[in-house]
Amino acid sequence: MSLFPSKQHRIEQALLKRAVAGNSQASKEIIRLLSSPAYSLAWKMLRNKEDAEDAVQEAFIRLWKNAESFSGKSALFTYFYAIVSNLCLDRLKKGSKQFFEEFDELEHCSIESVDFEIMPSINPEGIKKAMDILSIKQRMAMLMWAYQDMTAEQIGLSMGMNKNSVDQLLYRAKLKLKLELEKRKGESHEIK
Amino acid sequence: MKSSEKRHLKKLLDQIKPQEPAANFEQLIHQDWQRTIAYDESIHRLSEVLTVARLNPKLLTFLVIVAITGSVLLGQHLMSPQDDDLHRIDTLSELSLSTI
Repeated sequence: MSLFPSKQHRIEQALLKRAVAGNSQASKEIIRLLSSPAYSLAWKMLRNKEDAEDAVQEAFIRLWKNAESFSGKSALFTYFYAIVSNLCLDRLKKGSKQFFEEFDELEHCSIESVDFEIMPSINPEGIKKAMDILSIKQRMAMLMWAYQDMTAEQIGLSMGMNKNSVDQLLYRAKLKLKLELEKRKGESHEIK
Repeated sequence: MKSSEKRHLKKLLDQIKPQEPAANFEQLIHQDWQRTIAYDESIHRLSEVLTVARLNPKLLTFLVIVAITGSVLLGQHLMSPQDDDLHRIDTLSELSLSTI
């Protein structure tokens, strides 16, 4: 995120202004740009088609209503992803007491980088199943970290946790995912 | 290091294919946009009227007096024919009674 809007961000800001002023073409353009990736993120967070659609629709209404708060200092994608993530987080909190109660084994451990570059080619279904083993909190933190320019502090603010807990949560989530993917890779090789 | 870690993780997560949204999903969002814009415009107009009223109290007082006077006159106009009708009905019933 920069202090001043870049050219691309200014274009997006102008497009959003036109849409909010009533320009149908501009609104269609914004919907075309944002709806598909936002739905994909919401679905990965909520794992349900209807909930993901509702969250994205609600996010768009918020975007139209609070367009003036988009300063253009970040990409419109990033700004919109933040709205979508917060709405998904609210839904998960409402729908599951487990979200607050689940124990994430947050005792201190040294945090190292978890590299996914060397991950072998695993089919999308395998990655999806590997993601399923993560707790809701781990999944949310990981998706917010990967898809938004959010720091651990910012994720912590959204999730009601402190920075160190988020760091630990993210590290454990990444480690767990990597181990699960490696296990699946091993299994698929054995089958072959 | 962290940025490459994030990039690789994102690449991995991008491979997950979500369930397809409804065919008219974008259209529904566009309809929401139309509703929001229409609602905002009506709120905007109302707030403009309220602003004008607040800035011109004399004009507001004049309009209120005109509205009250208009309502009273209209009420009187609507009531008077009804009085006439009642009077006519009374006369007719008296006539019919006298005939009997």
